[in-house]
This record gives sequence, structure tokens and C-alpha cells, in this order.
Amino acid sequence: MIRSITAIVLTSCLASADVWTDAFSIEKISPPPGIDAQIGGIATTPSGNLAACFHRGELFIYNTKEDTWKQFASGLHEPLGLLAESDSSFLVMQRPELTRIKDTDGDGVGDLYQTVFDDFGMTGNYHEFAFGLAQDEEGFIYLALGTASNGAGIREEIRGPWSAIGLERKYMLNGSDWRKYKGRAGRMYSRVPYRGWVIKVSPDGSKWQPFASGFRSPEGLGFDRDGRLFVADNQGDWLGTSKVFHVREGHFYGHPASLVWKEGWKRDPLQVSVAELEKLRTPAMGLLPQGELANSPTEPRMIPRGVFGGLSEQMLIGEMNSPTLVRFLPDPVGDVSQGAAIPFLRTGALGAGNHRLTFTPDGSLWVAKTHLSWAGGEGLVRVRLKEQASDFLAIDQVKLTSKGFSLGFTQPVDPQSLQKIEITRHTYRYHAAYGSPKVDKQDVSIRGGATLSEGNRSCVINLKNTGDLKGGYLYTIRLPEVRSNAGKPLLGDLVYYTLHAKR
Amino acid sequence: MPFPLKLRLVLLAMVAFLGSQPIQAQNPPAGFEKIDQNIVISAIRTQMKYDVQSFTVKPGAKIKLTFRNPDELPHNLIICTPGASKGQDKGAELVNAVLALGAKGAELGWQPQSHPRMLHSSGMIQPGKEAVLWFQAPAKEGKYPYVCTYPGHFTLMNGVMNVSRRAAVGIVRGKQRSDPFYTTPSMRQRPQVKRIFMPEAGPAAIAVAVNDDLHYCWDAGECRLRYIWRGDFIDGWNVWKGNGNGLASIEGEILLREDTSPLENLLSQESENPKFLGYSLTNGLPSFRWKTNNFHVEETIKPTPDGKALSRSFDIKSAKGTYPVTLKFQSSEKLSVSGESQTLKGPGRLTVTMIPRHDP
Repeated sequence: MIRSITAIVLTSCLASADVWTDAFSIEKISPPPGIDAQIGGIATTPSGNLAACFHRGELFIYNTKEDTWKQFASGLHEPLGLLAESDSSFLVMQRPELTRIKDTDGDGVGDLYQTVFDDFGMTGNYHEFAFGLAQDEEGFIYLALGTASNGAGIREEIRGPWSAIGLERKYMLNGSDWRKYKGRAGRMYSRVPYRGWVIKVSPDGSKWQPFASGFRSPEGLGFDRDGRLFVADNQGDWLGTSKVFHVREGHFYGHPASLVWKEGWKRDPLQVSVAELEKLRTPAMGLLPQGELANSPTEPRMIPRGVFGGLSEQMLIGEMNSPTLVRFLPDPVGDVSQGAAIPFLRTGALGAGNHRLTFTPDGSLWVAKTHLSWAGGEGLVRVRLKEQASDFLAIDQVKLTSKGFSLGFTQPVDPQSLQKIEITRHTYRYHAAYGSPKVDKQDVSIRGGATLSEGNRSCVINLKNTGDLKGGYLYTIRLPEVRSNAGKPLLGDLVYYTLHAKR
Repeated sequence: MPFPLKLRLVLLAMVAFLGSQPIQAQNPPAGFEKIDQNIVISAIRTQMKYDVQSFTVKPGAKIKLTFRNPDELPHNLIICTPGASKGQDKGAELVNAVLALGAKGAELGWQPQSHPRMLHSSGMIQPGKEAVLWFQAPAKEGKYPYVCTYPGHFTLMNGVMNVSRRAAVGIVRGKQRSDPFYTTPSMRQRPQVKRIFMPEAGPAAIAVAVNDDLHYCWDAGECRLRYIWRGDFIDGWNVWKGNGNGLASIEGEILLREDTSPLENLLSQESENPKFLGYSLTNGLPSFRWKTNNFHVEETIKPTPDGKALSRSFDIKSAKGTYPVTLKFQSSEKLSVSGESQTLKGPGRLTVTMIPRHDP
């Protein structure tokens, strides 16, 4: 018998597989023939088709009605982000630059590759991925630059200025000696600008600014309906577990390597105390527990208005390692961003590698997959809500109260099905080591039972001891066996609430 | 008679499926009861390659050569004489003769009948079939290329029979391709631009296949050509198989490394590094654009009409800069350039031709 976290996750997925596929159809789309089918970026074009860029640099347009692929561009270097400006103009985030590809002669194929933004450094280290893309209401583009990994050194030739802060450059070089020095480089490092930063760029590239810092491997960016910029980051050094941040201008989000590119910064980030970093950092809006919900979160995308019933305009986040997506419901308290993460489409039918998401006007969610030799998948998946499942039951609101939590539901809930609600809480360490165990884990007792109101569509859970509500903790609320009045199962019966500020 | 008389040849197309018992070759022809060397060459499935890159035989040795085709496409194996290039053309002359046949080529089994360089031919071997050639190695030492003349196969499907008195006899196996996409149309497209981590260049490198034979690496970080090579394009498997932790390899011979920009004179007077602006594609070939404070430059490298050399042009725009501007071009022992120094008196274009030199 294999006993591991992975095995447990898979077992629970299999057990609940019916719940999701009863409500959603999940269909694999055949990729273009003869192409490495890892997809780095996906976008919906104004005419309702899909644009997808692939691992080896091809950009194809998928006609969703005719099920055909047509090549638009090629030659891109590990593209990991895509925006469609029109059906003949695309913005692509590739490793070395943000590029606009245009078809200028109307033959349906891109012939102009314009560099929009490349004022950032590259050491040639494999982990210096360039992720994207998100666009705000004014049209500004947001991209994120991954830090380098000490799984490798740097190349002799680099692009951009070198930061002298840290291990001397000659010891940073790839080669047989790297093993001797890698321990002194920092697990993830940022020796060229602006590794570990989110960058804001004007659509023509004429203006740009380093927007926020403190990221490790910020895999995906997206805006929610209230204009919050969501950025997902991956468990590792300084990240006890994977996270989703609400990113604001000038803030620092915890991974210190990027600090060397902060204006006026002169110290080695490896020498700064945890206490000082703790003061500098803005905590994550959401902690996504490793091994339970997400090991490698990816792109945040908003469910468009009118799509997926009661979940309209909510945020989904992709996940690479396990067959699930994450739904995130912000619950800000004053200026503090926090909220609840809930599994979505947690079914083997979805598969792993869920890297980029987009919706088309017909209400389909498209999930594009990659792996880059890590855990993941490949190809494209189409997800549609089944007509007969439009009255599905899901949690559509999670609020912290002064005494506990209140949950909102898309359908009236059967009061008899609320008997088995359980809450635990734990936190993670903030440290240079890779990941963190669950720390200070304890059960949280509920006062009486959960009580329903608003026509059984709202449920209040009060804690026995309100002192159990504490900043810096992740609360796991388990809701097994919850059913709607009509007998429908609860889609997503786990709530992970990240608490920083109390109400 | 397509084959020189002094060399004996028996071609036996065997009807047999691979994976079964070894082929029962017909009895050797007279004089070949005892052979000096037994060579087996196989097409590699889905890789458009021979598994033997080269083999060495002694002059006059009696050879039994079996050519197997386990691929899903038909292939042949034709051994050529060294020709004027002494084998350096890898047998391209023969392949071009086949292409010149046009539609008639298919009728002739892609075999250039009575071409002076054709020595031995397996004939077109269908998938799952094989052929045996019995022949006496040439008396004259040299490099005798062998090729598949089926259109489009030659670039990857070629090898060399070394006839040598001194060298050790034996075979050299070609490297097995790990990349399952190596021969896909998307990878074989010519011309082609590929941005990928390249050796001897900065991390923002761009590899360009100009045609089947000539390729170059342009560096978008430095806005300049880095090197030109001849042969096959790149093998990017080290990069593409994983997360990018590796470099592509150049599948050929570097003809020229350009260690400074031809515009070095101009650049040294500018206060800022050149800034890459991107490229436009014309018939698949890129024109790279970049600017300095005072100049706007566009560089295009195209094949010459015969495809054997490169035509390289610079378009220098902007009247802001100070003219004349002198461009200095480099050459090497493997590549000549039509003019090593060229001057523009004002905005405009100048072009040089870069010609691969054949080995002396």
C-alpha cells in the first residue's frame, strides 16, 4: 500500500469524481499534429476563437466551432503568457521579451514581431521564466519575472546589469564547480533586474515601472471584478506553502532575493533578519495548503458575468500538480486582503498541468496544460456546465464574522446535512528553508450547530471560543455531506480561509 | 549502363519484413564468396537518418552492404564518387540532379540515371524492405558520400564511405536523435526563426535557418550577428525536453564567428547600447530592427539566388546621425565576404555577399 500525500489526494478525487462530472462536461481537444502539445499561454480572441502558444514557440488559432487549428506565428522562446488585442494582433510574454505579433498584410499569419518590453535581465538560468499576462482597465500590461534557481548557475554571457550584492560573479557560473558554491547563492536568486518582480508596462512599451517585489516563481497574474491584481506564487524557499497575493504598487510579498533591485537597497538579502523581512512584507491574501489544495498554482482568471451560474464573476486559479482548480473568494477586512480558497473541478477527468485559463462567449472554460518536465500535463481541455446541472450547489460567499464564519450558498441547503462541519487551523513558518510543515495545528470547536438563514442560503458558524480566531492562520472548514434542498451535493466541500485581520 | 564496369554490383531487393528472421541474402555473386567487410546500414524510424554516419573500407576491398528500411517512408542509398568538392558536398550534386528531373523523378525512382557521380544504388526501398549491394571498394582513396535522393530527405539522410589505406576499417554510428519532433514539418520548415538558448551567444539569442544548408545566430541582447554555420540547423532537445536548463546544439560547421558588430565604429560613438525593436518576416526570413540614439538600423540576411551563399544587407535610417558611416565585415578561412569595408555617405542600404569557401 502506497502511503503518500499524492495517493491521498488522488483517492479523494476519485471518490468525488462523479460530483464534478455530473455537473460539468470535460472534453479533451486534439492539439495541432506534429507539435509539442505543452501550452504556455492561451487567450480568447474578439471573434470568440482561441489563441494558444506552445512550448516550442508556435502560436496557433483554434476555431472553436470548426475544431480546426491554424498557425499564426512561430519561433517564440518559451512563451508563458498571451493576450489577444484583436484577431490579428497578439501580445506574447516570451522568455526574453514582451512581444507584439501582428498580421500586417491580412493573410492570417503574423509577419511583424515588435519588441514591446525587454528592459529586464537574463542570466540564462532556466528558472528565470517570464510569466504573464494581465491587463488593467486602462490597458496597462502586467507581467512577472521568475527568480533564478540554484539548481544551476548563470551563463558567461548575460543580458542586463549584474548586481554585485551576493556571491562573486565568477563563482556563479555554470560548470563543475557550481556544486561547491551553489549553497552560497541563495536557493533562488535575483542578480539581474527585475527578477522576482511584477512589472507594469504601457501597451506601446514606452513607459514601464517595477510594480511590486518579493516573488519567487509568480506563475500567473489576473484581475478580479473589483480591479484586484491576483498573483500566484509557488511553495519553496520563503514560501511555507503556495500562495495567492493581492498585489499592490510598491508592496513587497516576502521572497527577499528581489530586494536587491529595490531603489536604494544595498544589503545582501540573505543577511536580513526574518523579523525585519516580516515587517517589510505584505502577507498573502490566500494560503493554498501544499498537498491538499495546490502545490503549484498558476493563472488567476475571472469567470465572466453570466457563466457558471451562481459563480459568475468569481476568480479561478489553475494548479499544475493535482487534478483541480482553485476558486478564490476575497473577504477583505479594511485594507487587509484575505479570503477563502475552495477546490473547483477536483476530478481526475480534468487531469493535472492546469496552467492557463480562458473563457469563450459560449460559456466554455478552456484549460491549457503544460509540465516543463515537472508534474503537469499537456494539451487543451474544454469545460462546460451541463444544462441539467444549472441548479448546482456551491459556496458563493465566505465571510469572517466576529464570532466565526458565515457561508453563502447558490441553492437552499438541507438543514439536516450540516451536522458534520469541522474546523481546524494551522500556520506555516516564514523562513529561508524550502516549504514548511503545518505548524501549531489545532481543532477549533464550534458553538452549537451551524444555523441557516435567508431561506436556507446562508449559514452561520460560531466558534466556542472567539479567541480561536487569530491572525496569520489558515482555517480549514470541512463540510462533508452537505446537500441542497433538492438533494444536490456540494461542489467544493472544503473551505480554506486565510485570516490576517479580525472583524 | 549506369554503373562503371570495373565495379561489380549485384542489387537484390529482398522481400522480407523486419523483425522476422535475418534476411536470407541470395548467394553471393561470383568472386564474392569471401568478402572483406560486411556493412549494415539502416534508416532510423521517424528520424530521417541513416544509423551509420560513416564507414571506412580499404581500397579494393570486397564489400557486402545491406540497406534496411524499417521507416514508414521509402528511402534509398546511393553511393557517390567524391566529385569536384572531394566529397565535401555530401553528395548534394546528385540530389540536385534528381530535383532537376522534376515530375519525371518519381518515374525514375528518384535516381539520376547515368549521372557521372553515381557509383552504386540500392534502388528505392519501400517500408519494411531491404536491399543488398555487393561491390568492390574503389581503388582511389577519398570520401565517397552516400545519400537518400528521395526529395527532402538528403539534409538529414547522408553519410560518408571513407576509402583509406591507413584508417581503421569499421563503422561510425550517427547519434540517435532523442527529440521525437526532430523531423516534424514544424521543425523542418525552411526558412525558419527559432528563439532558443544558443551556444556562444547571449541568452536572448535567435537561430535562423536561411535554407536547408545555411544558418545563423543573431543576438537580440547585443543586436548583432554572432555566427554563421553550414550543415543541418539546430537540435533543441536539451532545451525543449525540460524546463530550459540547457543549450541547443548546432548541427553543422561554424563558418564565421563575428566578434564585433560591423557597425562598431558607429556604436562606439553612441552613448547608449543598441535597443532591439523586433523583426519583420518576408517569405519567412527576418529583418532585424534596432536603434541607437541617432540611428535606426535594419539587417537582413537572405540566401543568394542559387542558395549557396548569403546576401547580407544593412538599411541605415535617420539623418540625425553623423555620416559617413563605415561598416567593417569579417571573413574567415571558411567564409569570404564581397567587401570588407563599405561606407554609407547618408541614409541608405548596403549589401555584401558572404560565400562559403570549399575546403582546398
